[in-house]
Amino acid sequence: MQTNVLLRNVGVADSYQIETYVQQGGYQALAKVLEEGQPSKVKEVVLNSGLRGRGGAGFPTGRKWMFLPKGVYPRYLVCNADEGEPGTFKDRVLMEHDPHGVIEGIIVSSYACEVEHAFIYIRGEYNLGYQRLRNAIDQAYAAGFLGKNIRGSGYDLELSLIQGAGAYICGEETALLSSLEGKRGHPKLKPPFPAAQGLYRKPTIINNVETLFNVPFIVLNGSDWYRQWGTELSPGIKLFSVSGHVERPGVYEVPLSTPIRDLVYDICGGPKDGVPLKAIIPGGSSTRMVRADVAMEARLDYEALCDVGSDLGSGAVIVVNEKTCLVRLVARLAGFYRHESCGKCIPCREGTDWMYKILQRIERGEGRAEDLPLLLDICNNIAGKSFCPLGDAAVQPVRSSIERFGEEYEFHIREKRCMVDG
Amino acid sequence: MTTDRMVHLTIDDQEIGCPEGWTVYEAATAAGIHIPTFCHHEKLVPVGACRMCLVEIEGTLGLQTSCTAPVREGMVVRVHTSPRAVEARRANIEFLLTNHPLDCPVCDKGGECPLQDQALLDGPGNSRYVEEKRHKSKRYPLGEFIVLDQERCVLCWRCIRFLDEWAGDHELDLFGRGAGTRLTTFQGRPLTSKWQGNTIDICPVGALTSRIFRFEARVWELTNTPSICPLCSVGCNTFLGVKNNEVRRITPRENPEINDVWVCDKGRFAHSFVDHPERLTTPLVRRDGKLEPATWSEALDVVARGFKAVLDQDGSQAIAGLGSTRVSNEASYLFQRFVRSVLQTNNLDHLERMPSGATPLQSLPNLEHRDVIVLLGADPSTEAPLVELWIKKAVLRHGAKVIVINPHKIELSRYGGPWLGYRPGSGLALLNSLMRALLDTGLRDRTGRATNVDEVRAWLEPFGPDRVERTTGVQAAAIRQAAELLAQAKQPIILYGPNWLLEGPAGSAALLPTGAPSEQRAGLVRPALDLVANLALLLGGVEAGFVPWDHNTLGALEMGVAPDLYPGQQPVTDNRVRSRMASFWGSALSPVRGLDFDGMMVAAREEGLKAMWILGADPARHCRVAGNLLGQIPFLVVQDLFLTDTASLAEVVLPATSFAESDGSAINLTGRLQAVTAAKYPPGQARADWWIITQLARLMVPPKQQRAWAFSSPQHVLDEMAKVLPGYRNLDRAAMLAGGWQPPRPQEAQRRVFTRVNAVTPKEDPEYPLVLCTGRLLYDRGALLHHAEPVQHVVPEGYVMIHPGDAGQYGLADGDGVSLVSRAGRLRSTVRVSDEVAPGTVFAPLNVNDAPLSVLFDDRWTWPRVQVVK
Ligand SMILES: Cc1cc2nc3c(=O)[nH]c(=O)nc-3n(C[C@H](O)[C@H](O)[C@H](O)COP(=O)(O)O)c2cc1C
Ligand code: SF4
Ligand code: SF4
Ligand code: FES
Repeated sequence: MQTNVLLRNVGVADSYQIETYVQQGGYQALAKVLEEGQPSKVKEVVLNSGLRGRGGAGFPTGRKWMFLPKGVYPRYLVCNADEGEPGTFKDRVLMEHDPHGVIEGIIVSSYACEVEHAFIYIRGEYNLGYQRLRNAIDQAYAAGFLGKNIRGSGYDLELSLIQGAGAYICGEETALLSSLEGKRGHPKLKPPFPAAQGLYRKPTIINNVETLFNVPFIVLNGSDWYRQWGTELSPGIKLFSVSGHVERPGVYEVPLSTPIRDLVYDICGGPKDGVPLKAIIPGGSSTRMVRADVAMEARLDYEALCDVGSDLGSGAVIVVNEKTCLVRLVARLAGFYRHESCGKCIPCREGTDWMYKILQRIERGEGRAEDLPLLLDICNNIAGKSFCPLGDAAVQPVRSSIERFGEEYEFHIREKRCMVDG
Repeated sequence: MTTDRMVHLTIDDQEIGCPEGWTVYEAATAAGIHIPTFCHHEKLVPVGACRMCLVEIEGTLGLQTSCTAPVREGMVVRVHTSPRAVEARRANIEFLLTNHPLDCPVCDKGGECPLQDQALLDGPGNSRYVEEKRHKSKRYPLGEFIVLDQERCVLCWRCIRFLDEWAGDHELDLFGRGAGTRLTTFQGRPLTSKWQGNTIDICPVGALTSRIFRFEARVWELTNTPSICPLCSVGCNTFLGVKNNEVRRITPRENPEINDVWVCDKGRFAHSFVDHPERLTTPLVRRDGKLEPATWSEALDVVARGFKAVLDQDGSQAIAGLGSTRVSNEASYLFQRFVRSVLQTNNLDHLERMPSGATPLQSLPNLEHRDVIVLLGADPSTEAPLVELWIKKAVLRHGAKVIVINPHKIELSRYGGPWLGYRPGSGLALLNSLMRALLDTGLRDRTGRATNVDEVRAWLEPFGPDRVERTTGVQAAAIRQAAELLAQAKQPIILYGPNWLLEGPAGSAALLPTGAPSEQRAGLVRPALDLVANLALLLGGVEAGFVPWDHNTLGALEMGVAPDLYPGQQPVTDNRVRSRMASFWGSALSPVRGLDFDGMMVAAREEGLKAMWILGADPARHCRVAGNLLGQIPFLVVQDLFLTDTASLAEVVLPATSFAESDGSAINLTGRLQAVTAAKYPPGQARADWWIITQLARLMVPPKQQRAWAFSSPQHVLDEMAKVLPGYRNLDRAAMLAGGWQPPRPQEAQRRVFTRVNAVTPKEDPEYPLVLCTGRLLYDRGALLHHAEPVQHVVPEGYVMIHPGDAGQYGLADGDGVSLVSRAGRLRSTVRVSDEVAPGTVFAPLNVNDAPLSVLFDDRWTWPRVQVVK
């Protein structure tokens, strides 16, 4: 049920060193594309593979690459390694244990997109990941996989590693570009989309670490190989960061469309201490929470999760058991979004602050009957009105929990105490 | 980007056509459909941040911000007919108000606040917000002029974007994030931008308030009268907000030809001189050696008798009038008419005269489309700030390059264009050299229209950039770089200022008496002007515009306050013109050219000048020599706002009105005639210039000439000006009031010949090794600003700027107290070491020290050579 493609080097001794990586068959995809010398062929195989972005939005990667305007150079490629979505920690594993895999993904993708300067924007807190990448980049330069005239092919690529400074919004692609340009991490107006006008107003491809990590495998094995897993719309394999109330939380690699039940019960050892589950947040805190019984019938792919009123997101499965107070959990999440709202637009800046204050008040036992309709109203007034998707994201836990677990809120308001704490 | 193609769309069921490239917001606004906004401002690049302007656009998911959505053919937009969009906007105001302090009763913006208006129009009636409001700083001074109320700030970014996009001063920004976002400056440093006041106007709430106006009045208590700023030659259009007969606030009045919707901080904040307690409020007459208050009839009687006595005993040659570049056209016109027809003399002049041959700039907005701008002895940032704003527009939006040719760097040097920092006195050699370098570039044959290109090549032979390096102190590479830029330029323009005129062979300062006869003076300015014309011709006949310093520099000349020129710059020696004037004025006129100011001072020295009337000028303050000489004139009459240095020397002092207290007109640097309207009553017995002159004339002229002085308002004076001045026949008063009227420009003959200009090498003087140059600061202690306390806080102490190399050589360090010593005098100052001044040159700003810099100038009025000693 689990696959061992993306994580194959995890656990191998010295997996982050170039020798190990090469020994395990690394940099072969690069050799292949350089030898073939046809960037468009690389784009094509990625398009055909149906690979979708692993950063959260799930946009088909090959299609994104096709948006690059013809004949406009320089172009940039940015590897989004900000990994800020609560519950998500898969990119971290790749960067710490297989930094050369990340780099090879970047080089092959840059080659496909005719990019000569790529960037990794890494979450500021990822210290070990930063060091491993730093070391790996230096090794790759020394080995001639980066820099001028890569492996005698005539292809040049510079790769810069940049650390973020602790803002979740800087994972949003346009805010990330602002930050890379040395500006305040504010999202920018779209259109123009980054592929048309991104970093320094040049065409720019932004992809998640895991997305790019998939590319060398697809290049080596072909799109049919990739499509052996998953569904038509959700092909391939995916890393899931499982956290919360399971026996063995961690990062797991499974084919898309694996039943949630299999992941939670078989792979992660089931509910922690056998306490029954209450809710699942299947794709990171920005996706709607689902009642556990409903979730257990669903599969981990884009379509199936949509059917149960949620989303695959970044593949961060947060498992919540019955001993957890959802009001408190949602208040915590609301606090996160309030803290991370960049402040650019009114609905998100004011709405997240307001929601957080109301939720805290309910938590304190000072809730009022009118608070629930008010919260839902605020959600409506943020969703679809904010400048960037952070506002929409902030709404998801609040709205889905009130809609699907309203009784807990009502108990809180009525009894002025928590339903689970007793 | 707007194109000519029209797009058709439907907004709220209304069919609308508008140019392609407009936004939905613009189309709706043009069609009279109101869409509320906060972050959007028509003068700023849209950012779509606040989400206030959400509308529904058929065929798109969700709501769209109309301020950023471009119109498309066939688009169907719903603003007020979409319940979703209406609800979203209502909700947005609700969001904003959750943490807004709602202290409208004490907020300066109350009454003209977009948030108030929109809350009323579209907002919810009551608040659902029961949580504690966020607290931030209520009184956060951002700089000398502005206080920020962080609680009121809606974080719309307008202020930041204005400073970025227009002023190029990235001083404000947002800090922190989310609900904790605050507007402030980097590291809390005070704002320095000279444009900061504009942020108050465009702030959609009362977050930014003027420290000068704050809590002075509710806006609805102000009477706003259209006016013109009197503080520089641009003449920005303004409103004077008056309450209880005091000017409380100045705000810009839109004029796309001049100031767009902006005004500089000097114009906005430096108005308190108008209501200053030291304003003269009664006439003063000298009795027993002391100036004592008198009534108007007493004072005018003394003046009339004084002038008559001189006329009777010494004749009209013993009398003179000195006008001003700061008073209205009506005052200047009547003043010269009085001096000519009543005092019977052409002894008339004004200081800082625009030299004949200097051409005014054609248009301010056109500056935006210049790709290379040459600033020759001109510093628009301090001398005519709006000119700077238009130049910055050219630079910031279209990438124009600025070439600075000036002994010291100026603010516009910041854009990295070449700086040709020449040693004062070597400017002619430098410009010759620039022309030589230009010819060397090949110039892509721009010189076609000139007839003597080969000659000029020969003349310029000795001016190779390497050869002038030593005399000018300018590196050959910089000259070549400037030449290269100019050779590539498609739309270059040259702007030159009064300081450039001092580069004549012996130097000459129009503002300072030389003792030389005026013909010679004109000869001294000539070469500097010829060189400008040569350069313009070499570039293919491009525009070269003079940027004067004072408000009505063009008016003083055009009204004929000059020894050689009647109104309309017609020569006094022309018999036909003279007889026309004589018939207009009902009096015979002197056929001889009069004394200019230098001539007057020579006459005063030789005791030939017995009486003089000075209107709105203070030569004694600017020149010690002149002060001494004026003191020797037996009957001196001075008309001014304050008891100036010159006024204290007078027999009679007449209290005049300021620009805020009388109707009149002025001509700005592009030649636009603009109306100034009285916004308040004058203090005490102060009277308008036209009234004073008229009254005096009536006392002096014989009965049959009384009718010629029957003016009862400045409008009557303007009526006569319209008849007398060539080109004013079609004067359009409505236009004059609305945005200025442009008289037809005289057809300039296209120059086709280069004029040979020989550059003299300034003499070295080992004892006084450095050359002093001066210049203006934006805020100084000049005549009016001196009485405007709020801006006095930002006037620096006097200083002398010296190049680090020179400082090292003479053992000087930053902050050292020093004496500036020339052959003429000495002055205390403080050293500023900076590479913003050329080696061998020192720069000291005018009008900041108590002792004027003129003590250092000798009779010849070249830039003085000095030594700097501890
Ligand atoms: C608030 C916010 C935070 C985001 N954070 C991340 C992140 O940390 N890492 C990431 O890869 N994508 C993040 N994204 C998604 C990116 O905007 C973008 O969609 C993604 O990097 C594209 O790469 P992909 O197509 O490979 O997924 C975030 C989006 C939003 C709105
Ligand atoms: S929704 Fe608005 S305030 Fe929130 S992060 Fe995006 S731009 Fe910033
Ligand atoms: S101070 Fe005013 S203009 Fe500046 S961001 Fe705040 S509300 Fe906007
Ligand atoms: S006015 Fe359009 S988003 Fe602010």
